[in-house]
Amino acid sequence: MTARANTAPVARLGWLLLRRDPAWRSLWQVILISAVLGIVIRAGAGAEPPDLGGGPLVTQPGRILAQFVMTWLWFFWATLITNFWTRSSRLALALPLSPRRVWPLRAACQLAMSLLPVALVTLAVAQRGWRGGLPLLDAGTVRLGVRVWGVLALFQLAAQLPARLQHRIPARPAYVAYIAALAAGSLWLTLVSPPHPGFLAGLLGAVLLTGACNWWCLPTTWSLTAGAPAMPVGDSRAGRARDAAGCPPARSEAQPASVMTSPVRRSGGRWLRWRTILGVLHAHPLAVILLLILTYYGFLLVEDLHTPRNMLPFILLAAALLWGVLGQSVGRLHRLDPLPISRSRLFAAAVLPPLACLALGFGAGELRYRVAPYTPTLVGYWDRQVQVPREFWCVAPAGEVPLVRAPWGEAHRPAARPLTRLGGTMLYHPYEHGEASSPAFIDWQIWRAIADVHGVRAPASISDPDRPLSPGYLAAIARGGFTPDASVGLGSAIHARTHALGACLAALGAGFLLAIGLGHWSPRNSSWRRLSTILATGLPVALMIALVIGGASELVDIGAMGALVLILVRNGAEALALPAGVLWALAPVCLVLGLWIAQERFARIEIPPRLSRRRFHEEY
Amino acid sequence: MLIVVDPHSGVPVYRQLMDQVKFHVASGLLKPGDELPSTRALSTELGVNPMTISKAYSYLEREGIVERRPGRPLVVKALPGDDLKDRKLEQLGESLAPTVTMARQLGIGDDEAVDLFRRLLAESGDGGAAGGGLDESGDGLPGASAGGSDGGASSEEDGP
Amino acid sequence: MRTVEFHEITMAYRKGEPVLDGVGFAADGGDVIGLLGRNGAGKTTLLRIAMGMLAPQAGAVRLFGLDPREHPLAVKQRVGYVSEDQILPEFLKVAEVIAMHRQLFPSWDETLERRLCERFAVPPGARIRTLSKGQARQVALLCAVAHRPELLVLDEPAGGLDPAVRREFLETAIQLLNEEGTTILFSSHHMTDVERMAGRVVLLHDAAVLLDNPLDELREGFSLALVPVAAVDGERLRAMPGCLGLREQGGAWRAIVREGPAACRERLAAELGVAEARCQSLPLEEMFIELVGGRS
Repeated sequence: MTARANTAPVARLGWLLLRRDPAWRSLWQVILISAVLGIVIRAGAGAEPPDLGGGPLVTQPGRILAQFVMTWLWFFWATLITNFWTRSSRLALALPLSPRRVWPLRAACQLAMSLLPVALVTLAVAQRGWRGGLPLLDAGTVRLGVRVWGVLALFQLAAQLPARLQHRIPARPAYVAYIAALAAGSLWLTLVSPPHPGFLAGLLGAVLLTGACNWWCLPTTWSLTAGAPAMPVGDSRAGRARDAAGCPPARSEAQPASVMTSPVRRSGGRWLRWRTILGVLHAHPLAVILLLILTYYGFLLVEDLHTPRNMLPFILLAAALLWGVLGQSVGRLHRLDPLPISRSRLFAAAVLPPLACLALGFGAGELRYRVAPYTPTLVGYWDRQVQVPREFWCVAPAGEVPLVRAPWGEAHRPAARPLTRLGGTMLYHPYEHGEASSPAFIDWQIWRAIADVHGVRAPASISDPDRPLSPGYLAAIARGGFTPDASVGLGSAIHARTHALGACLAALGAGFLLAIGLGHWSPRNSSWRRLSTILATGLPVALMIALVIGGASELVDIGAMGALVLILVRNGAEALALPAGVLWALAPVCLVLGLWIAQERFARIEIPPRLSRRRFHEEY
Repeated sequence: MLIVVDPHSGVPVYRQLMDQVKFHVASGLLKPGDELPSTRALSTELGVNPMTISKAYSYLEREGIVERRPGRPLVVKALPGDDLKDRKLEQLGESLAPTVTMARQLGIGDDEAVDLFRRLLAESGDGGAAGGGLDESGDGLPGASAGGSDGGASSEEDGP
Repeated sequence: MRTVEFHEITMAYRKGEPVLDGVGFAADGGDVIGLLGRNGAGKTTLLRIAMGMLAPQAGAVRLFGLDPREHPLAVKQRVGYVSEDQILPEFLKVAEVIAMHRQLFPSWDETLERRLCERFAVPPGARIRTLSKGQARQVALLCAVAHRPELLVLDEPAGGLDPAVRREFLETAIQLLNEEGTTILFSSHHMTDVERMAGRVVLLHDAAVLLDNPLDELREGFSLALVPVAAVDGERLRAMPGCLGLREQGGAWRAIVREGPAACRERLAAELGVAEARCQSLPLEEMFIELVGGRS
């Protein structure tokens, strides 16, 4: 009877503890980011996603590896925000609950939370079609997902092993080093682990074993300290000396104050002020990670300039990240606002570091293309298809994709790519070839693409279907990937102008977006506030949800959407008829203009009112 | 100077100050010509708002107890003998007033109350009876609960 | 020109639930205003409006005749602010925080800075994050007063501090008052501090100013009347002009009346025919509880 009477309150308490768990607080954020990440990777992989189940990940080509490491970093971050170093909340600490009851719940939360992003991304990447409303999954990718999660779970549980009595492991340097070593080890383990069922079983066994170890090591009751004196010995001795000698020591101890301040003044100067502002706004783990990812995106975006790859989704992500960095900064402004520092300085401190990171990554990417013996071409042939920058795709007039016909009569009708499955603008890839196209037709298409993209004349011989093609060339076409030599080292006026105008528009757009988003913090009596909240937060969220759902269910063609945007920019660039150099020179002007617009709004924002929001570590 | 302030009592701080200065003047602890501490010094010492101190001082000045001279600290004003005696009686009267109210509320007759007062004076023992019994301050400083014993003891010397 | 001026300030975080509704008062040089009110009464919001961190939806705030949102720098250079939360950058050392403030405020007084450093005895080489709550608040106070501000805004300065640090705080502020005639606007729940410091008390309740009186007036001009329940009808007592609050406790009405104790007794006898009333002046804490404690 007592058991039954106890069940309900215990269940309710369990639910309460669960809801207060830090792992659950960021649930939506984690779901959203993971889903977007999964879709982006899936969309970036093209029609034929790589086989991830084939062998250890280190054997994968560089791009997938880079993507994987980035994804792994996100998983790792999602693991970190579960605060695995706390084994019980302060609340549960004060309740009459045994650690053996509290810890399993907390551990289950942590494991579930690290599983969630892995599961979502795996689901998005592994999806290969639909059957009866359920997604068809690629078994190899799913096995990889389980492997990744197993390693993360092992990491989480192993990270708790050094704990003794405390409910929360203090972040001593030794522990931080231990965590860093564990993290590096687990990344290595994920990369080299073979896709062998035996390994998987061993991994899950290790997870269980570590969990059991943790369980056995649980204390009968939590303690706030490790048992050793919390106070450093030196401090207490100094305190005692002060007590013993009475008042005068306090004076002599304070004497260094005036001595100490002078060197600071000499070395400090302007730098100290900026160090404070930048430190308050950006020196916290989340901002650092966002800035690192932004740098990486800057690096990736360069590919858009020099290869036919389309990095538009990364621009969206970069914008979202920029936005995140700024939001974080605004959330910290209350610490600086009472000081007589002008808002324009604060704005510069909030906005310039993320932009600088993006520029830094971009510069590094440019350098890679300049220095490395690596010859990118704008026209490529891989995945058994001719690849051109997306602005060279075409919009089908009147919803009908025209037939592409070679001079000798061989024809192919490119696949129609409507923006959505339900219809809308129809796009197509004019240099596409079919499964049954002859090598001569493929060669003709490649030459046509090179001629259009680079503005050169194709050799007259390509109109001859019986021209001799070298055996190596034929083999490369049959293999499905090579770099057309004729494209190497050639620039493309259209491509350059499109991207220069794109950069101008992006710079202006970023300014406008910032200005609109900052309206969220504008004074409360303005109706602008509500509108901007909807525009700045509602629209991107709606767009993201639409993309996530649409992309996953193939209702929306993300590739075609990117192409349409680029085609519109290209048309704009052609209408402007300005050389690319002038447009590139205009881009910084546009950036300054855009930032100026945003800054005008920033100067008027209210400092967010919920200043005394408690931080996680105080509660946990 | 012996001034103690209890900001938490219902009596305004400036009034507590005034009462204590008046008491010290009446009891003779502060003699004519004695300097009062500056507003600044006293406010820092007591940890109260300097405006409160200056308010008390200006009321004291208005009542003619202290005297302000330009550029110098406030000094206690000299008083003719009769005035001093009046002031002492006035002080005692102020602390007796609540007692009278209480006697009324308790329904104690005038004679009984006076008898009780006489008896208490007799019990407290030494001296004073010849002077009419009115210069004996009884207990406590007005306004503040602490610090009264010293005031009471020092009043002995200057009794008429 | 007045130092601070709030004029009909209205502010609501959520529509239809104003935190401040038509709040107005002003202070001149040397005034010390204690801002009282229950938790959530809008004290912090009002102080943040004064700092220009929030914009009121209606009404105006002027510091030294300037709008703090229009002239933020000019205003902030003349104001010292100590927040309820610890907002100093934790990664800096004490000496660096002080050095940064020294750069930001043109009127910085290094003599005062040195004096306060000695007085507080906070180790200058310590990082802010390693300081105790009291020490961190002392550094914040030092940074707020060492430029000899014309206005000191203290948001719950004594919250969570031990009595010794609180007294230190108070004495520092009083010293500044003595030397500069600084206007002080502070919110507090420590009535003893308010009683020591404040010349005037502003009590916020139900989004409005319930009381705005000099402290001495509160003590002399207000009294608590204890009337046996049997002696008078509660409604008549409540309807008596000058009756601010009424509640029953232990068989007696406890009424706050805007009269001194003697006048109050006479009024009760004359108007309601109550002879057995006891009237007394009351400390601020009691008055606070009587006035806003029972209401919600």
